[in-house]
Amino acid sequence: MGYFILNTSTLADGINKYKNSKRKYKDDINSTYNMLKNVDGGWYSPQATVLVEKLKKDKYEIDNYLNKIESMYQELEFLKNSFDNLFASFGCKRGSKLRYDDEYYWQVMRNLDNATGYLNNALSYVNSCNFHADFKAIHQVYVLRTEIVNLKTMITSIKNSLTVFKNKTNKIFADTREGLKPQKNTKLNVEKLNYNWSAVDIEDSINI
Amino acid sequence: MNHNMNMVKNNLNYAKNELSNAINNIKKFAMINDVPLYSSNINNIIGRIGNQINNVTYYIIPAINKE
Repeated sequence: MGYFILNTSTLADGINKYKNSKRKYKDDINSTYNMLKNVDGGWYSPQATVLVEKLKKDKYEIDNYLNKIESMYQELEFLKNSFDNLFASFGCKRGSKLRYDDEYYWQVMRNLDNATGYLNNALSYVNSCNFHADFKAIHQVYVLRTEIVNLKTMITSIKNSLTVFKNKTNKIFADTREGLKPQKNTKLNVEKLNYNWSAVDIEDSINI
Repeated sequence: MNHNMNMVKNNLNYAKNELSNAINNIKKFAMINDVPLYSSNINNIIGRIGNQINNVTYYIIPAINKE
């Protein structure tokens, strides 16, 4: 998948800014309509009729455009919520920043496997010693054996959790990318969003 | 037995190094709010391995030498 940084706080800010600007746009259109109604005899004035027709056409085009963008923002909202839920399930606060690159997942797994291998070696060396029951440090040997076994279990648990994190992260992106495929006649450059997930690009795309 | 216990120490040190490498690679793999995922758990394991290295050095090996 490759490298990206995603900041769900920034994403939430961008989505809110967009929603507010869309609300303002609708208010502006409505107030322009109302204003035109009252210009020089209202709807029947020739000048007003021309303006209204032009406005209607513009309004229709802009509405169309905004509806297309709206669906993209729903996807971004899905992305933000999915990541916030994922953060919460891993004990991290919502609105967190994630830096992620699954290319390194296998290197981490290899490091953890190697560590487990060394702990196994250590355990084999301990077990190959024939300590008799009245050996003075027999309790310390027991602690050493038990601790190595416990630490191996902890490493396995960390490996499993990292795998869950990777799978969930990749699934969220796979689900979101499906919805974010570029749409025909959409002027917004959603292509960029599909292939470059850095927070800056997402933010740039929000500030349309 | 002394040789075996030295090998235990060596392997515990190797395990510590691998876990440090794991944290460095997790920094590139997944960080939330600039904290590598599970780094505190892994640091905890590194600390506990250090305790066992001390256990071998200061209790088990001297006890073997006294036998």
